[in-house]
Amino acid sequence: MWRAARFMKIKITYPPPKNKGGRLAERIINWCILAAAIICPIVNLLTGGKPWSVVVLWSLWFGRSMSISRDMVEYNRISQAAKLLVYTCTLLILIDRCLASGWAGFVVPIVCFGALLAIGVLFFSNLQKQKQNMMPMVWLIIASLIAIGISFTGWLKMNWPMIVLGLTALTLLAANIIILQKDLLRELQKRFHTK
Amino acid sequence: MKKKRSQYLDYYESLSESDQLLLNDFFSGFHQHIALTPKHEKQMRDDFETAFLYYSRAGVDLGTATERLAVSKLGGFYARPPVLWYPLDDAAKIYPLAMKKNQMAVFRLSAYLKEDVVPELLQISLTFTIKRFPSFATTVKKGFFWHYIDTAKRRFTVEPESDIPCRPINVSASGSQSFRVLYYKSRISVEYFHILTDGTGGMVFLKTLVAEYLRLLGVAVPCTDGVFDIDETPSSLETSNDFPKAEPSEKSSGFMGKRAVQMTGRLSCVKPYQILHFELDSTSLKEVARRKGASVTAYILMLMFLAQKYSTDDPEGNIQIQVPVNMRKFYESKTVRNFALYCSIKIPLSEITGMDAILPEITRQLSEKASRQAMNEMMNATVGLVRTLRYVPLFIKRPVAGLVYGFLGDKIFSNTLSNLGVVAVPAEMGAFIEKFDFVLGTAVTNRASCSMITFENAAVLSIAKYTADPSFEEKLYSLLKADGLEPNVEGSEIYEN
Repeated sequence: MWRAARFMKIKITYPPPKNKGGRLAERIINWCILAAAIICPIVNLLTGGKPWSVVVLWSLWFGRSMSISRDMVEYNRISQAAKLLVYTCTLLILIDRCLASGWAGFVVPIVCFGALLAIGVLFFSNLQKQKQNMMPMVWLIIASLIAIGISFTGWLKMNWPMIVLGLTALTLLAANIIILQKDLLRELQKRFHTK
Repeated sequence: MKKKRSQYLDYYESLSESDQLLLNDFFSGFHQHIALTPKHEKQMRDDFETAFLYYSRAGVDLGTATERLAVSKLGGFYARPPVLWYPLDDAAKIYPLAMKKNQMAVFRLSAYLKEDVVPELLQISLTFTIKRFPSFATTVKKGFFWHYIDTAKRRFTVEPESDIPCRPINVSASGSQSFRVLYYKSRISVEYFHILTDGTGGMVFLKTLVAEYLRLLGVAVPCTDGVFDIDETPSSLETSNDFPKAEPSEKSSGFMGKRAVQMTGRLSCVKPYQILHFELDSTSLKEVARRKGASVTAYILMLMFLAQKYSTDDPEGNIQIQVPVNMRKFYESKTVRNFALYCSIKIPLSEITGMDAILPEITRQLSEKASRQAMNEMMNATVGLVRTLRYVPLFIKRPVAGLVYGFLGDKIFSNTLSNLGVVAVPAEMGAFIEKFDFVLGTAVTNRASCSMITFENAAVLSIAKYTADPSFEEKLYSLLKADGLEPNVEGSEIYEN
């Protein structure tokens, strides 16, 4: 096949592409999100009242990053479950602070230990493959242990969900150490290398 | 796949009892060499079955087929757990930091054979070859301070070419490949995420892959001229980061610079907009360059400066062309990972008045800026920067690098010319190869990136275009013709709707 570009004849040696990379839908969604992100705070400021637009803004960011703006490195079941948990907890805390307060100290640890348990199941049910993806889970365990540590100091409310969260995190940590042994150390070495 | 499976079963049934036993032995040996997930193991078994079917159709007897496909070629690679990992080399560290969804540093090397590619054998060839390149059998991972590449044990796949060249590679999934092997008619192409290797390392992989493919076709190719012996144990020197080899110097040159003049054409939404290859007679090209008292690189650079000036409406400013420099020229190195830096050839628009006016200046700048001393200074700057940033967490580095790269990107250059030089292959292999080509797919704001590679008498100058404006390539074409060179132009259709 030949194509002429003015006087230069080009012999076509590439197949026609399957996908010309339009991604129109994605662009439309991005513009809609941007429009909502601008309009909501303005309306909120003009009408006054509770800062509901903060919750909207975070929800937009949450939805976008979980659907169309995916992670470019390490997009796997463990990392996505961990990300979902962090984003959800942030949303719950924002709702608590901005709209209806007083329940987050109880609900967030319940969501966390449920999610931590689910992540543990996802991890240990496919151990061989997930071994190289363990880090988001380790971060969550560390964060949970820090949370229970802070509860002991009295900065956070100590309640039964918090105790269950601490126990779940400790159990998962122990399971990781016992089952993975050298693999855990190797993984930590990789993740914290400075070379 | 079910059809192929039943075809294989029909083939198996049609064999004599002794041949069936031979195949049974073969596959029991195969299973001893594999400890992958059931899905990958099944796919790999299917690959071997399809290869046997191909040999049967081609009239190759089963004994010869089992010899060529010998499972010993799998080595222990697929039977061992993934324990190796590699920190990124100093040049690669920027690539995962700066990548975006539609923007990834990908380059492509292709070999054109004299006959159409047999996909069944190419797949086996990749299965055998990858174990020799452990740093290629990896997935990108995020550390706390730096990214790294982690061994991926899987079936590495070849695909028929059916999409835009050099499009970003999906490296996000667990165990995903950071390169892709494609075939189209008689062409075998490998597209690499730059994190893995540079042009030289990529060429070693491609040559080894093609040599193994030819061996599967029954051609004995010796392991010389950059073809690796795939049965050899990989040396740690081949996967080392050689940037710390920089000799201490008082000066260390920086990476910053002023913005360069860009071609005026609108940047295309789809990248690349088009790929073009100017195939030239290398003897004539060398002769023309010699007549002008310049090297081939300097001569092509001169044409690029003239074509670039023709393609811009800017009245003033500098045209700066980035020229990658292979550091293996200056330092003893066996690495197949990145070991290249770049220099920048800069000429003000007002001084680009004609061939004779700029060629001596280009030659002078090339010899000065691509000298060992200048490159050593840049290597020191690279190593120094990496050392300075080593304890800064990735969650800080990434947005900063994204901002800096997004703000500056490749705006300090107008274009790139990467000349891989002359490719040498063993004579036994050369008889089956028509030519090579090399495409850069890395531009952000530059409207074109040029690359060149020569094999025997075919010098291929490739242009990855990022604008609809045809001025640059048309001017280049007319300049080449004016010098008596008759480029044979091949390429892709326009990818933008």
